[in-house]
Amino acid sequence: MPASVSTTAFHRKKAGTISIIEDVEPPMVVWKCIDSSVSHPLVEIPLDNIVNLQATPASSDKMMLKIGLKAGTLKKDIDNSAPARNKNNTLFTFKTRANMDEVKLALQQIIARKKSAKQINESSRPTTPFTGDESTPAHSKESTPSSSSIPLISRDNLGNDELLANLLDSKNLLKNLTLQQKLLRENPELMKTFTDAVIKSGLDPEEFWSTRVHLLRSFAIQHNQKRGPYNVLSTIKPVASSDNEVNVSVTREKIHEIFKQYPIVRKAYDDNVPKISEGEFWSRFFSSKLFRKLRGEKVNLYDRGDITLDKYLYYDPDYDGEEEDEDVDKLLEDQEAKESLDKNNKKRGKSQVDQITASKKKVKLFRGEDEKVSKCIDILGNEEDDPQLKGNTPDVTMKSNQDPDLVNVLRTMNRLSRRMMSNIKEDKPNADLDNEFKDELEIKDLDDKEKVEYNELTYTQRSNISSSIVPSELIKQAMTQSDLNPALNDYDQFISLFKEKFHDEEKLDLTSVYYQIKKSIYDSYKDVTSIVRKNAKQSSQSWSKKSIDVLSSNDIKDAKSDMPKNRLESLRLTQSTSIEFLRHFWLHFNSISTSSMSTNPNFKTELIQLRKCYFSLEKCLERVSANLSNSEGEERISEERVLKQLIESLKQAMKRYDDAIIDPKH
Amino acid sequence: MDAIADRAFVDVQSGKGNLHRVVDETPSLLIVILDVSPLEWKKLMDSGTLDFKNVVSALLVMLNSHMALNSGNKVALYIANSYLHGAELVYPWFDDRDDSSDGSEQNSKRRRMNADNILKASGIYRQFRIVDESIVDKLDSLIKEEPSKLKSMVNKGNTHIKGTLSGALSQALSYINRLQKSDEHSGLKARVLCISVSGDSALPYVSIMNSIFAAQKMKISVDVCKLGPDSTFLQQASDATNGVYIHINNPDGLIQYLSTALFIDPLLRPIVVLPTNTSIDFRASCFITNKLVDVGYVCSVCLCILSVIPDDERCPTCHSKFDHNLITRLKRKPKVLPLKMGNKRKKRVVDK
Repeated sequence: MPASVSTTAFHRKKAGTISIIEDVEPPMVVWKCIDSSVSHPLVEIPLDNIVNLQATPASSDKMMLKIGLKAGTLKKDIDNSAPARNKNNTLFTFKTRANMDEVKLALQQIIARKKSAKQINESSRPTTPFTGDESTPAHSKESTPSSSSIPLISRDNLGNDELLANLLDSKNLLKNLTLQQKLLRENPELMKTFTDAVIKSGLDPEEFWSTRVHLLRSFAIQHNQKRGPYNVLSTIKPVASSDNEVNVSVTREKIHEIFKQYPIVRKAYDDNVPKISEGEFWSRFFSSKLFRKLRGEKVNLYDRGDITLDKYLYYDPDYDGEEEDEDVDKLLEDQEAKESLDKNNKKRGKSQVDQITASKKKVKLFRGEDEKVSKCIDILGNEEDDPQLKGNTPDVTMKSNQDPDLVNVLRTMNRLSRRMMSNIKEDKPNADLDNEFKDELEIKDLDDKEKVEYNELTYTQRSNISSSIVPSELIKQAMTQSDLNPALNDYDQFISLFKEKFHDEEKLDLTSVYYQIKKSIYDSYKDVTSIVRKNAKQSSQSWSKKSIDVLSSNDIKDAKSDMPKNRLESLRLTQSTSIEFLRHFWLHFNSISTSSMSTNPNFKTELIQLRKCYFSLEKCLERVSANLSNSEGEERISEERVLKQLIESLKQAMKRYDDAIIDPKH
Repeated sequence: MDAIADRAFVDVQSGKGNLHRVVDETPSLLIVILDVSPLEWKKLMDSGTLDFKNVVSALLVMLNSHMALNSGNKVALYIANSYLHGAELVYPWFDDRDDSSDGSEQNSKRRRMNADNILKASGIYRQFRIVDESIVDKLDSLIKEEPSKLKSMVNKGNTHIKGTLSGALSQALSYINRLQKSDEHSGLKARVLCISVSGDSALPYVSIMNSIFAAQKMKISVDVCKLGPDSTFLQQASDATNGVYIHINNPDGLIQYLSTALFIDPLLRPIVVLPTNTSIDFRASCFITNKLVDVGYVCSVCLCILSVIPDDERCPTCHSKFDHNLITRLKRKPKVLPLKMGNKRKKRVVDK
C-alpha cells in the first residue's frame, strides 16, 4: 500500500514504522512492528475517529504523539490484551522531532481536510489534497463542538433541510442561548434594549425573545445559508501588478470550487503537485491554455501556454473524475515514449504541435469506444430521426462549416452548466436519464388543458358611493329650501362671490406673486430648507449619507433637539423600556381575549403573567414620572410633551385591563 | 398582485456608476390638478390667509417657469371637486366646437376679450401669454357654470355630490399614458401636482388607492401641495410614488414652494433629498363607515378593511361568509384577574 508519510516510531517501547495511508476509505494510521514476534505487531487507527492530537512541546526532550480516539470506537488492535484504561489513546514515541512533526502535520492536514470536506459535502474523494498548509487552522477550530445543545451551524449538510427546520422551530430558537448571544453581540441596538428590559428591569428573557422570534429566525437562516455553485473561473481575474507581473489571488474556497467543477484540474493537480510546488502549479495553471479553454475563451494555437498543463487540454472533456484514469495515463505515457523514440529517429525540428495532435487522436479514439449514448438522443441509432432528411438545418454545433472555436466554447459552457446542475441535485436520486429525455421530447401543447376552477365572488363597492364632498347638514339645508323660504345657505352665499372672483376691480397680475412679499417668500424658503435638512439626515442615499457622516458622525441619528444630551438619553431609555413592557402586555392581553380555559392549556399561567405585566406597567408609569421630576420649568414642559404619548398609551393599556377585570362577586 | 407589489421606485444607491449617471435634459410634462371645491375655498378665504386669485397667479407662474426650462416641456391643468363638472381638463383645450369653421374665430376672439379682462397681460412672453390666457378664460367659464344654488343640484334626485380628486388623478394618468404612448412624445417624463384644499372626506378610498397603484406602475410621482386640512390618502399617494407632500405653512409665499419644493424634475428624484413631510399617516379607511381605522379587521378573501364586525357575518364587499366561531372569538370580551393580591385565592375559585 502506498503511504503518503512513513517514518520510524516506537509504540509501547517497540520499534516500528508508522505510516499514514490515504488510499483507503477511511484513511488510516498504521504502525507496524519490525519485529513480527511481538505480541501486537500491528496497530491500525482509522482517521475519521480521531478527536484530538497531542504532541509534546518543542521544549521537551521527549518526542511523543498521542492520538485520541472517539469514545466507543475500538481501534483495530491485533492484540486485544491491551490495557483497557488506555483504550481511547494511542501513544507513539519518535526518535527525532522532524519525524514526529512530519507525522503530526500530515495527520492534521488529513483531519482538517476531512472536516472541511464533510462541511462542503464533498463526499466523493476525500483523498484529494486541497491546499496544503492553510487548510489546517480555521476549519478544524470552528468545528470543535460548541457548548450549546443545539448546533448553531450545521456541520453536516446531510439532512440539512431537516436540521434547518429543526433549528427554525420557535421553541428551539427560544432555547438556543448561543444563537441569542451571538445575535445580541452583532446587534448593539438590541443589546441595549435587552440590557434595559431584561437585565435591569427583570423581564423574563424568554418573554423578551418570544416577541423577537422572527429576528432569531432570520439570524439563524442567515448563518446557515450556503452558497450555490457558480462559475468559479469566470470570477478569477488576473490583475497586473506594478512591476509588470500578473497576480491572481485564489482563496481556498475557490480552489475547492474549481476542483469540483473541473475534475480535469483536480486530476492535473493530483498528478503534478508533489513534483511542482503548489504555488507554481497555480501560477502555471492561470497562464495555461487549459485555463483559457475552461473559461470558455478562444485558444489560439500560437498562444503561449504551459507544456505541463496543456496536455490536459486533450483529455476527455467529459472527464468527471469518477472512472479509473490509469488507462488514459498509460495511453499518454505510451504515446510519449513512442513519440520520443520517433523524435530521436526523425529530424530535430519536429514541432510540439505534431506531438500533441498525435496524442489527441489517440485519446479521441479511446473516447469513441467507451462512451455510451442514451438511446433517446442517439441520432446515429435512429437514422430516420435525422432532421436533415426533412430539410431542416442541423443544430449549430453540428454544422460542418461552423467555426470550431465557437463550437468548443459552446460545448465548454454546456459542460460546465451540466456539472453545476448535477452538483446541486445531489439529494435527488439519480433520475433515469432516459425518462428525463422523454420528458423533454414530449410536446406539451398537445395535452389537454387543465381546467382552472374559480370561486365566484360578487363584488359590491360601497365606499366610493357613499363619500360626498358636501356635508349632509348643508344638503339638508338645501333640500328644505323653497321659494317661500329663500334662506341662503353657506354655499349659495359664497358661490356668487366665487364666480366673480376673476372680475373684481383688480386684474390678475402675475407679478403679485413676488412683488412686495419678500418676507413671506423668505419664510417659505426657510420652511422648505428645514424640511430638506431634516430629511437629509434620514436619507438612505449613499452619497448624502457619506457627506453627513463626515459632518456629524456622532449624532447622525439624532433629530434636532434642544434637550441636553444626558436628559435625552435618559428619556429614551425610559421610553424604550416602557415600550418593551407594553408590547408584552398587549401580547398576553390579546392572547387571553381570543382564547379561553378550554382552548388554551396555559390560560391560567397567562392570566397570572398578564397581571405581572400590569404591575410592570404601573412601575413604568412611576419611572416616567420619576424621570420627569428630574427637570424643571421650560424643560419639564418640553419633556412632558415628548413623553405624552407614552404616558397615554400606558394609561390606555391599564384602563383596558381595569375594564376587563371580572367582578369576583359574579 | 405581484406587479402591484413590485416597488416601482427604487432608490439609486450602491454602485458608484449610478451617481454620476448623466442626467439628460429630456423634456417633461407637468400636470397640475387644482382643487376648486367651493366650500373648502370658502373656509380658506374666510380665514383670510389665502385668496383663490393669488393661488391661480402663483400656479400660472409655476407653469410658465416649467415651460421656460425646456422648449419641449409641456403643461396640463385639471380642476377637481367642482360641483357641476367633477374633474375637468382646463388646459390644453381640446374642443370639438372649435372646429366649426366660423365659430372658431369668434370663439377665440371672445376668449381673448375675456382673458384681457381678467389678466394683466402686458409684457408677458407670447408663448406664456397664450397658455395663461387660455387657462384663465377656461377656469373662469368653468367656475361660472357652477350652480348658483345648491338646491338645483340636489333636487335632481342625487342627494350627494361625489368627490372627484381621484377622478382628476385618473384622468391625468390617462393623459400621461396617452402622450407617452404616442410617437411624438414617447418616453416623455411626467409628474402630477395636486393643489389640494379639501380633506379626506372628499376622497373615495378605493379609487384613490387604485390611482396610486397606477401611478406607481407608470413611475409617475404625485406631488401634493396641501392647503387646508391634512389628507391621509394624499400623503400615502406621494409616499408611494416618491413624490413630495408638503403642507403649506406660509400661503403668502406659495410661489416659493411651487418653484422649489414642488418643482423637482422626475429625472432628479433619485438624486435629491425630497422636501416632503415624512411623518405619514398610513391608516386606511373602513369600507363600511368610511372613517379612518386604527386597528380593524380585514376580510381574508377580498382584503376589504372593516372597523366593525358586520352583523350578518358576511363581508360587505365580496359577501364571503365569515367563520362563526372566529367571529364569536373576536367578539369575546377579555377577562383578567383582579389586581389585589389578596383576591388571588378567591379568584381561583371563581375560575372553576
